[in-house]
Amino acid sequence: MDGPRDAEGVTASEELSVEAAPSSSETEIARHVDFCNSVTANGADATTAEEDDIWDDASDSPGHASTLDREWIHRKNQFHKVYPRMGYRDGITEGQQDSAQEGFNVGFRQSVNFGYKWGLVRGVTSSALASLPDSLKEKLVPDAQCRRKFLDVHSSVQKISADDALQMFHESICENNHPSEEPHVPSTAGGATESNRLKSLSKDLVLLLHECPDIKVSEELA
Amino acid sequence: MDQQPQNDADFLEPSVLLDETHYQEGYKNGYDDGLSSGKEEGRQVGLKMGFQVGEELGFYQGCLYVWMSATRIDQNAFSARVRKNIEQLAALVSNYPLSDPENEQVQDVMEKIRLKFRAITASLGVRLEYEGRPASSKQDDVEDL
Repeated sequence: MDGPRDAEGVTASEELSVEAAPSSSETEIARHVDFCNSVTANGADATTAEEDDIWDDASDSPGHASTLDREWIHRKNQFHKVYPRMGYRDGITEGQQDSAQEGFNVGFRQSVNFGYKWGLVRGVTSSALASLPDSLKEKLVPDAQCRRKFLDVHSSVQKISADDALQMFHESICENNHPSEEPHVPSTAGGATESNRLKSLSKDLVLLLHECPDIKVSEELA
Repeated sequence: MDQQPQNDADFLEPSVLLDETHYQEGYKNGYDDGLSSGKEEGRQVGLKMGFQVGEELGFYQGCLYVWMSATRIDQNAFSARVRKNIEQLAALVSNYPLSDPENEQVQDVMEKIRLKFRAITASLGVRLEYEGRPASSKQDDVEDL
């Protein structure tokens, strides 16, 4: 280390003020804060005699002003980079915390009804088939052809896993920023076709339910 | 020499103010960016959750429609116990706060719905489940096999 007379007194004060270090994990920023604290603390209670020497010598010497200027410029350059960055870091965290729930609610409300309707399709087709004994199935859907159609829709629906359905829905959201738009607008994009698969299956079921008046679904399916 | 502390104060004050100003400037920029990125991230999570919750609830409601239709056609389609469970499940599903994602009860209500649904399918002696359910709650079924 150079003597205390060195114009870059910064180095000296920085190394002498370890006790003021905050417990930041980001060492680079911590180092600058540390350095800042040491300088701020200087005026009130000079920590060591050596630091006093710096100020004494500097004020006695003819180069006093320029030394301070140089240090000022040096510190300014450092701080102008560090402080906005620290502020930015704190700010972005706060901002994200403050808006995450709002965003979640927006997304949730945007997708929940679509998911619900698709779930209805899943529930109606699988429970009508899987959970009823044959005798009851025949009472509920007397027409054999209708029962076969139910089976077809059911197996098509079963081929789409919950993850697939989510993926299809997500793609349709990404490509179409206006989800309220008419869903069967022809689109060249593959994803839209995929999400239309959910909708076309829903429509198949709606048509099928018209033929099976005993199964009452008192909600819009598609 | 007596002037020294005074000099220090003069020297440091603008620096501290500048530090504060620059911090605030950065904070403001960060906060604005955080607001928009946080909202978008939250929206993406919400889109996924909303679809999943909606699909699961719709699945149960779809099953209910069919069971209730069957009951209408044939009073004795299900035992009295199953009919009671179906009614209770219907009440639980219709009370689920679908449009209120911040409701703290949602998890509890969904758990009750799942249990009730499982009770019904077990009584009916059928294997029927919502396949998108979280893996943890599927564990029991796997053991049943």
